[in-house]
Amino acid sequence: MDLNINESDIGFRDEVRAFLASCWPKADKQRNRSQKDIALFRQRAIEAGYLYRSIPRRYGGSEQAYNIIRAEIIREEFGRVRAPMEVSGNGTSMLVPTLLDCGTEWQREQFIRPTISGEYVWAQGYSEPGAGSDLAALKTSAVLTGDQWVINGHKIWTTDVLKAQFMFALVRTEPDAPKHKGISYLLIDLRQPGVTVRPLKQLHGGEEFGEVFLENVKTPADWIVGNRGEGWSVSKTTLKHERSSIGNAKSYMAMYARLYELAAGTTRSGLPAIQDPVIRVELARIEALVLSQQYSSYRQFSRAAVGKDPGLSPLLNKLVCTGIGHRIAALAQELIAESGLLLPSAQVRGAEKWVNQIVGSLGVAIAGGSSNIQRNIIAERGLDLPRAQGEGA
Amino acid sequence: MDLLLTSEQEQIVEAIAAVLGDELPLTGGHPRRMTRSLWQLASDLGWIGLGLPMSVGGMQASTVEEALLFHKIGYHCGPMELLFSVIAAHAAKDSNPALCERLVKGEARAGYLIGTSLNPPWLALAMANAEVAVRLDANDQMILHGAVPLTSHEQICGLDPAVDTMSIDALPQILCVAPANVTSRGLLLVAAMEAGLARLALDLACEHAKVREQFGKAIGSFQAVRHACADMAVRSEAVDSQLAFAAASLAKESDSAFYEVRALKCLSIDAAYRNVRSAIQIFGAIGVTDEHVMHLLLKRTHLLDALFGNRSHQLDRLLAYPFPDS
Amino acid sequence: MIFDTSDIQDSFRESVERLCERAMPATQLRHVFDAGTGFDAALWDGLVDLGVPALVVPEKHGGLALSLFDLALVAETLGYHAAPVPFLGHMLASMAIACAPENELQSQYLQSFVTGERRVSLAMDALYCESGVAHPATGKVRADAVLNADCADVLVVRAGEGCGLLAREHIGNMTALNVADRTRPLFAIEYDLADVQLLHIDQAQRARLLDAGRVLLAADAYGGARRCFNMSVAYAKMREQYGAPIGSFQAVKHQLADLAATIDPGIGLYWLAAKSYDDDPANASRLSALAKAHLCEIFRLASRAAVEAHGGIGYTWEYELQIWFKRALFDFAMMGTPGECFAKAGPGEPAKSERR
Repeated sequence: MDLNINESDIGFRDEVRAFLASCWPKADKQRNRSQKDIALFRQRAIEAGYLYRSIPRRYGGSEQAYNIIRAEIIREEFGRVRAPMEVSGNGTSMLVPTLLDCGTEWQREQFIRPTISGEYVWAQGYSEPGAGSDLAALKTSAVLTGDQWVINGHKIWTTDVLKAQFMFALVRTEPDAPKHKGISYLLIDLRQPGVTVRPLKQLHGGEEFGEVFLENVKTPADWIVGNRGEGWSVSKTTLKHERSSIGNAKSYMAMYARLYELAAGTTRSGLPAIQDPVIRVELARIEALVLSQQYSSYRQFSRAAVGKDPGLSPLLNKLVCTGIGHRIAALAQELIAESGLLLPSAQVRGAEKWVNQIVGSLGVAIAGGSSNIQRNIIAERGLDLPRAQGEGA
Repeated sequence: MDLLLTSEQEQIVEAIAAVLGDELPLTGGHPRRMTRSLWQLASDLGWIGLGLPMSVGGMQASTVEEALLFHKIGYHCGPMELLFSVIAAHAAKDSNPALCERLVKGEARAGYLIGTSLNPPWLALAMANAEVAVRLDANDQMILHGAVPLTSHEQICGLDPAVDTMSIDALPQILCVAPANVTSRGLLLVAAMEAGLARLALDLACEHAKVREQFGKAIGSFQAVRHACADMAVRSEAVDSQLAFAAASLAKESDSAFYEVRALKCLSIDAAYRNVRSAIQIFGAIGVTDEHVMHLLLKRTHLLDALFGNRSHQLDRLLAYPFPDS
Repeated sequence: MIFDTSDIQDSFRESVERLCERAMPATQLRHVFDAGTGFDAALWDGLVDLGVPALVVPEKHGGLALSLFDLALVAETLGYHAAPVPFLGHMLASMAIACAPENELQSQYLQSFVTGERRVSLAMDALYCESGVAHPATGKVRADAVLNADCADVLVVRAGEGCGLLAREHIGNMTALNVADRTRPLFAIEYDLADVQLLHIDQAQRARLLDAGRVLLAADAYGGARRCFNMSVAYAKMREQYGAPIGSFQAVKHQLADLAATIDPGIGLYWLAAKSYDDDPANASRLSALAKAHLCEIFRLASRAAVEAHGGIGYTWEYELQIWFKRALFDFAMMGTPGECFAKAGPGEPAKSERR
């Protein structure tokens, strides 16, 4: 579906297509383009105003007016030809917006450019063993000693920590203040003595996160973002992102397409599974869920684009998608049958790659705010239901 | 039908629990593989021959006692080798008593072959030290095979890290076709392991919910968590009841045993999946790492589902069977 | 293209909304429901005044020639208010007459359906392809499920391989069925084939009418599900137990949050189905079946969840939640159950661009 709202958007789409045709031509060995080619392409795309649109030019962005329709058009067109998008990761998605909103001029100049180029990789140091859903209970401490912070504590579920040079972290700097008021947001260089990183292997074998032990780790006094004791609100900064849930909904449509292919290629009781009435109906049910979410996202997007209230829908997206992921996983497990006993690897069979979805869909229900925390948020912020004593959201 | 345990049966359960508690403590995420000492104990205590006649060195107990044993093994996420050997021994009982006796004594071990389809490759479980293997064929008959030739297999990475997994291109030689009731026995014992595992998930989650604190109190005080625990308990109670009933039906060789055992298998695999997933949700992030025992429960559930015909296979069979008169 | 309602659509929907609120407060709804007539004349007249019957009638017959999407938005609002009006039958019957090749019945009737001078309705079997066979003994044809037959001046009924119009005076032996949903009553009737004025519409056109009916039911179901949800949220804030509103307990909160996540995205699918009926006929049949199945299943689930959320009061006749519960039964069963519709739709073959 093309989200062209008016003539100027259609013109813009043509412009993006022309840019891609000249700067990202179809190559025979598209997948093997060098890092240098990719970096060069990104640079051109920034100059053309297509990437890092909310970041000022002086920090390496393209400084474009806020326009979610154009942002979506860029994502659609870049996606169509598989052109490189913005560097992914915690740095660009979380730290940079925070620095733009709450950072000092020096911090922005120092960190934004190398982060969006992919040179600096950031770990997110939020959760601790005793502070998961109840994040504000975190205990890692930082004490200002002379011109530097001295940090001690233990972070866990730290995304990307295995490849990161830096971490942005929530730490307790005001031990006597109330829970939420004693937290500060610090930037930490992980390449120093006292930092011990240990990978945490997930149950499907992936190692995307780890834990970090911090023992008398030091960071300069001016590497604090925002004021002392304001870390909680700094971490909740939400800039006017040109984001939408369409991309996520589309990824579930792509997953449905793969599931359909799987059913078409699987034999069950001597027939293609796609001809089995039970499988057909479950696939149709999943398609209904996926289409609902995809077009609900288009609706949310269309309303946001013209400043209309999208209602409750945006709060629901994660819970809805988690549910769809479980349904897809369940049918995939049925289809792959015995291959579900293998761990995905470079070895023979192939259908076992679905084991990642079957097992990984459980992780989605926990990461980034567990499903129960999502339900609290929906009930309290969305439905205005009263908050019970001592319950978090 | 009396479904309560006799004092003798209660003693058996306690003895089994004591051995497993010592041999397989429930700490950490490392796989619980079969150990030399557990294998020795299991043979010495007569676990493999529990339901077999004395003529082959068995204890002449019934499926009720066997179900109790495998419920406990499931509860400890214990090794699969015991199940395979028990089924193989029952399969060999009439046609090859000497093999049966060696299995009962623990001198021979059995593995399991997965694949009812006619096309290779098949999966071979726990075959590394096994000289025989059991397999369910497309007609739900249990087949006893010989050992996998060393040359024709490839070691592969199984989902369940406690179970040695190979891919084989040719089925080993067939030794015999087991008597018809061995399939039901196998299903009953797998279901018993699933029921045990569902209860383990329940107990671990409840324990965690009592000690883990968030927002200043035990997470078990939040309705979202306590209700999930209550639902898990309801599932476990239902499954354990049906397990007792199906085990007794099979012991009596009642006409409805076929139906009861397959109904049990559908209930027990459902309870295992749902309790394990609920427990993982309650454990939060630690539950999706390989450092905590929960990942073993999840992977084991997937494995058990595939043994002796998965859930949809059992549902198919149930549909073809007349509902028993009460 | 933008995937949203226009300002004009929004304001029209608001007018229908305000009319329903004014004409159909809970007391009046319960009154009509208990009376069992399934017809509130004041509300219907209000809808006629707003131009609802004109929406999908061609301009030359006094209609507005708008899209099914426009009509579906009204269906959603009427579903939200459990409106006891002959909307579904009147609209589908008007569409049946309008889609026939040009004939004098159109000029004779359509204008009067738009102005409210006449009411029309539909025998459900007219949408299907089996032919109507006269009973050997009586020589009469029987229709088992006719929407709002008692308040219709003319009916679209089955006639042989096709269908046609039956005037009120030719309706024989009308029996009210003991329906669960008293806001949309059904009747069994008998008639002589000789009395039917034939409409020359073919199977493809009839299939397309069925698609339209399924979209309208999906929209109705979405509106009804939203109402069940809103009533449950309001009740959770008001009802107190253990000294606190029950909405402060996680169990209730999480049930409502899950219900929101189940219902809310459904709007995307019913809009998609309505818009594809208007703009993409090749996919309309599949998508209308898919939307009908999915949304009616959601409505059933929402109505049951709402009864649970309300506790004992939700299980009584006197509290109006039961009316939506019964409308959910109607939507579920009519024009193919979700199971039948999912099987008919089957899984959609993904577009090439989706395959990665």
